[in-house]
Amino acid sequence: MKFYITGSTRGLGRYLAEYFNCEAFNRPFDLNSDVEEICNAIEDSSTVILNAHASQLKYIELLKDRCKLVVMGSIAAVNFDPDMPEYSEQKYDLEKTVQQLALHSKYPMLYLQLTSSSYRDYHTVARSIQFWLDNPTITFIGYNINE
Amino acid sequence: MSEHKIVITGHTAGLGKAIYDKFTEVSCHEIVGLSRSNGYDIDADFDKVVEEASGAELFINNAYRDGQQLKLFHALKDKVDMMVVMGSVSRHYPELIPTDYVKDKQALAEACRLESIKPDSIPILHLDLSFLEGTTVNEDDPTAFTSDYNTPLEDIVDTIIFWAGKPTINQVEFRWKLTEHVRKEFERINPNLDPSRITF
Repeated sequence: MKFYITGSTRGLGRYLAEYFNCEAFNRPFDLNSDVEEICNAIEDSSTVILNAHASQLKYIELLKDRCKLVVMGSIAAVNFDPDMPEYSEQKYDLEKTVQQLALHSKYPMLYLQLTSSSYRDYHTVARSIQFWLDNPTITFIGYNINE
Repeated sequence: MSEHKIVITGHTAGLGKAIYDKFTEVSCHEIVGLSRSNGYDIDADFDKVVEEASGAELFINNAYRDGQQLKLFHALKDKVDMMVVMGSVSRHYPELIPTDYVKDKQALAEACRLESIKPDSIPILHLDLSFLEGTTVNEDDPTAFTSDYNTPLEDIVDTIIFWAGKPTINQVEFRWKLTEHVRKEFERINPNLDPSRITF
């Protein structure tokens, strides 16, 4: 199975790209304006990790009936962050959208509700994705906030 | 605190039995099942259940009986090392499934969430379960219904085992599908609901 990832130049994205041997979309692609071009380059029935925050909903819309999707969400969706109101609202919309689309989608979707500590625990996130690949009846994994 | 035992409520049927059987097979811990059949009714024998489960390395809060599951959660959250709580994905849809069961599962999920953000909380895994394979519907309950897309019990057992090895996860939700069969079931149990609202 082929893996792709958006945003893999550092941190969690970089780790996941190596762990799953992903084909990565970074610069010179513009993850916001090149959504269609990127989606057209992705093979059907592959697994796509939507790690970068940029335009996640657009990628989901274009890929939900073609690929397995892993969507990086945030605890900010449910614990509103007053310092980043726009980010919190976007993550809330993202979480609700994935939960709804998962009711109909042809391919499994996994939404990861990351916290600041889990975002740094690369290996656990990678193992979570691997576990989901083996158990695709799961659609949501949330992490502790108090680590 | 730990007595190296794993305690599960409702271990004689369905998911509880699947967990009990698997843990008995693979774990070196003592596995203790508590059910009505062996004198541990989570309602009538509540204090006895708490006493037996106290000190467990892992308590699997599986059996549902009105508010008793939540009561057990509060009674044991400081008396066991880790806890798995069986919730329900139905808690997200109180309008479609207007039952006390859904309200109870909402309260349970919120209790888990609030507990899990405390700095000194034990590891808690709240599972939002969907329709389960092999579930038999209580025909006396007009709000009970079935699905034609069901989660294999093995997937849930595997999830608990996965979590136990790295309990930094606190919530896992299982997928359900809004199939035509499920849509009709919603309309049957909730005839006053405008069908156009069953869209998501």
